[in-house]
Amino acid sequence: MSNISEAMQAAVGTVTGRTTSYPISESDIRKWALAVYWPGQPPAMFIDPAAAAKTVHGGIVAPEEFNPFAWIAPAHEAFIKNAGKLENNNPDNPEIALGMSGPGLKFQLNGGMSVEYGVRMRAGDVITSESSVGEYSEREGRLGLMLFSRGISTWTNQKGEMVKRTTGTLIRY
Amino acid sequence: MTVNVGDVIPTFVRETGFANWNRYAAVNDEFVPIHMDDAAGEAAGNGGAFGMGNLQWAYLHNMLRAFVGENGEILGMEVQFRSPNVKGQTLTAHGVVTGIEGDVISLEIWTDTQDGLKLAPGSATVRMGK
Amino acid sequence: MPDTYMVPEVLAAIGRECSRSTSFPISTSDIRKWALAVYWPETPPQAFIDAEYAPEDFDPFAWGPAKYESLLPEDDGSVIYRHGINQKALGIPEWEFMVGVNGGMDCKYGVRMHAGDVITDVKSVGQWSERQGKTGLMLMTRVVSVWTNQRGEEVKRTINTGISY
Repeated sequence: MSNISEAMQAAVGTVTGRTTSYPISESDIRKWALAVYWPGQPPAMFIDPAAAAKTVHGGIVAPEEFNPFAWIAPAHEAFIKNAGKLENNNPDNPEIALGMSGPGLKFQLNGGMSVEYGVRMRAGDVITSESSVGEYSEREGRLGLMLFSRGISTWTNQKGEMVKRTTGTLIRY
Repeated sequence: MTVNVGDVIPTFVRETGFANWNRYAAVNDEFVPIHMDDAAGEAAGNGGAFGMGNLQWAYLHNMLRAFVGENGEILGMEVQFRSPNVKGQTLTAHGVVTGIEGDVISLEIWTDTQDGLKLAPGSATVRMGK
Repeated sequence: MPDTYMVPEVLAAIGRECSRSTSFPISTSDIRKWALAVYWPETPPQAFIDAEYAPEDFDPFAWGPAKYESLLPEDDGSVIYRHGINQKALGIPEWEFMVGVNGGMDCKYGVRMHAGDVITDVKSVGQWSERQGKTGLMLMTRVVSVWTNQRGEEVKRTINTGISY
């Protein structure tokens, strides 16, 4: 028995959306660093242009995990039309968003994320994020047959250089 | 600096609660009831409000960043969020070198609490700064 | 509790400049996020999303100033007074109050804040006053905060009243 339908299998690789960020500001980087190092002081490379100029980056770069899409993004395109209505905490949301039926499993948990980094983000950069459907897999676990589904998001900067590729895993059972 | 397999890298430690979570919510626009409201956290089965997985993710980066130095690189990371980070826990990000291939260093990384409860185990690859 | 708070040290402090803070340059992103937060859950006016100018209530000192200096010789400036003043360094007696509350703000706005502006805030001691309340004699402390932009134009003048009793 499997919870992975043919439609789910066929959806793997589908590009679902594209979001573009506002230009990153030094202020965004500084506040991010202040928050994630609080109550300690962030490294000078994130808050002091003179100190940052002496690093291999030659200026302020954002922490690797910085999110340029926080709060608002000027442009978002969704490529999936006729998607169903998402409901809060509905475990079938990933498939509903693709316009198909989900496996109808009752529980879900965040299975973590895996990230690969490319070039650094800098003040002035405009980042584009493209989302796509990753692989499905299943495994028998202590909670029964567990479904692993993955979402992939690839970030590039305005020069087309890869900044980050994130694979998020959702576990349902 | 010479790095060897088995090396334990310096930790990154934070006592966690609303003071950290609210700051992270502010920069990441992550205002989710389960992270702001004890009742919502409890309804989600966590005994109260709990911290963002993304903030533990950031703390693991902070630890690695100090290890590789400002000219170093964090090449990749993966973690699993196994248990919630609840109020009043002292969270420690840990790392141990598990492999060295050329100039790429692999590490086992994790966060745990003052009681040794492992919250988010994972792995990372880095390159030391020159 | 003393019979009066209007002792010579308090009266002598009126008008003294206490601190000067300089902001980081305001970014379009700062303006946008501020507006999103204060209008939430509604969408802010487009002018703020486009960051044509900042909302009047925008605070460029949020998350800390770029530079802070105490103007009081008795204060080494190691503690940043974001909203108040260093009363100890002004020689104000250290009365033991049960309660300190924000009594209100009175703001007069000048020119708008825009992206790229660097704001300077000079805080000084305003008028003090006292009043007999139900729980005893209350002290009203007023802090005057004058903001100017990099061209010296006044952005905002605030009188903040603190009530202690």
